[in-house]
Amino acid sequence: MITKPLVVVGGGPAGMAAAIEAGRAGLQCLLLDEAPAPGGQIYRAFPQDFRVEGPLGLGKDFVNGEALREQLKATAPAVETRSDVAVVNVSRGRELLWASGGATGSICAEQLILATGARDRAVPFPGWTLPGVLTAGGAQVMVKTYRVKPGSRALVAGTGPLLLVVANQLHQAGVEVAAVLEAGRPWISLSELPKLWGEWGLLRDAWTYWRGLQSAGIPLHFNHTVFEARGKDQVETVLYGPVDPVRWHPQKTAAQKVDVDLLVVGFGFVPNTELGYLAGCGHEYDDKVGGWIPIRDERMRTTVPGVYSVGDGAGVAGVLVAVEEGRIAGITAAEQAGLLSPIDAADRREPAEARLKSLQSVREVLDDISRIREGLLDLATPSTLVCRCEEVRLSAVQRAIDEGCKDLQSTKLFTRLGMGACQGRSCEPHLGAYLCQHLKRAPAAVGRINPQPPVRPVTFGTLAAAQETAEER
Amino acid sequence: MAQDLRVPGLVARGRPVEILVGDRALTAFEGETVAVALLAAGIRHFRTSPVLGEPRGPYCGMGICFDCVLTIDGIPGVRACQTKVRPGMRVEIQAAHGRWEVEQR
Repeated sequence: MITKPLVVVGGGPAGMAAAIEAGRAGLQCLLLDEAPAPGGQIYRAFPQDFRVEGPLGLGKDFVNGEALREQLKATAPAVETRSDVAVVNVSRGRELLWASGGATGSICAEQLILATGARDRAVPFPGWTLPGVLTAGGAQVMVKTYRVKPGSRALVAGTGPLLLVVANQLHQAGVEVAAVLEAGRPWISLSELPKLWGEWGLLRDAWTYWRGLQSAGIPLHFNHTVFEARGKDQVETVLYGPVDPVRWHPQKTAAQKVDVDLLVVGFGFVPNTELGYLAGCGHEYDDKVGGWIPIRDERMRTTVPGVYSVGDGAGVAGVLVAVEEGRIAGITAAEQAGLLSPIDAADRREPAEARLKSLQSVREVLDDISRIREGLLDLATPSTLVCRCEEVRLSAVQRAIDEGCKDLQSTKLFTRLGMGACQGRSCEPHLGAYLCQHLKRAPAAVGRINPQPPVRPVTFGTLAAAQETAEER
Repeated sequence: MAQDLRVPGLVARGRPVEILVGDRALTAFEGETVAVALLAAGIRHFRTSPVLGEPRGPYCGMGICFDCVLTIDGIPGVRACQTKVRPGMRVEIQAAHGRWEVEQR
């Protein structure tokens, strides 16, 4: 098996920053990313066959992403980037199995930095499986990366500042946005301004997006959310209305109707922790940053020696935090490999640590905004599908509880939820919260739907071919 | 004129690529995914679910949810949002789990 001094999994902002710092310190580093080019979700690159004609019109994310990609390129040959490569298993701590096209292979990493990012949190409500219901992240991919309108008239619902960003992007692309529904309260209150003092960039962004909505005449309703999507073969009508401001319980008797062909839902993000779990890292539950996250020290080291976890995959905190965490892990890995003295390493970490510290108060505000409240659990009715893959209704989960299921694993065996192609990535966070509420148990007691390798689909043919190649050697 | 939901300006797409969706010929562009090509043509119903027979299409758009899977070049269950268009590609809207139409390796 090939051995590499450092492997970084994930080419988003955190992974790129980690590889850049490790490479600058002279550490041989392999960056594996499943997308066609580094960037992750926020800095996702245009397809290679596309040519950018108006970079100035593409906004800050495009410019920032290009800057990180340039820095990454400049670290070659110390850093080797391989795109279109999915890591599908981590075993014995740091042995990676990767898949790319029809090929697979193994790599032993002396050190491993996991920068696996986050995914949109799925919140079930009646009609959420209809075509035309897209996650906020999915809508962004269509509009921002591929420049395609995913519908003609949209309703945007969920929580967090991303809603404003997506609504603006849809509007600029020519999609009519009927309204934006924020389940929470106004994002920045006067009492919180001191916490954001100095973060002018963030405040300016928030202001710009808010102004964008205003000038487009798009209404923004706080303490409102989507109740139901209706339609025959696709979304035709959406029912929405107010939620109580504290727990977000839907006031379904006050529902209103709006005719749209696109419903964009963004209820925040959930860290992708599958690989860390398979590597044996200890995890803890923190609902402020998306749920289950790896236990880490201040240098991003997990409980498995030589394995680091950075960025949204280690707790959702956004791109600014992700980059600094990546830097700290990359520098620490180089120090660990003996390429930086402890003093040099401390010097290099210092700016990143200072930046993280100054972002701390912003994080407190954002964490409070983005933490979803239990009232959203009341959106689903007994007939609502809670597992999209295996088409399991909420009533089946309720029956499982009545029959004595006390955790996610037994509920899975009883109902098949989480046994489908997505491996529970969509249903686990919501069902976990549902079981906690109904069984009055803690997240650790309810447990998880354990990730199983391969975490991305690989055909038996591909695995068998890799096995044959390995035996021939 | 068939529906085209592509947004003009700022980027130039790759070369045109002809694909077949059922028996309908579609023009997509190099670099686009199958999901993008279909959505741009106004096609949102990618498959019919195995248990309830309900219509499904893209949901997460980034390879996580497996709701946009359909049959591509005879192989069922392929994620449209993670598969780039190729000239002459045959895409079938998938009923339930679909059917293999190629010799299985």
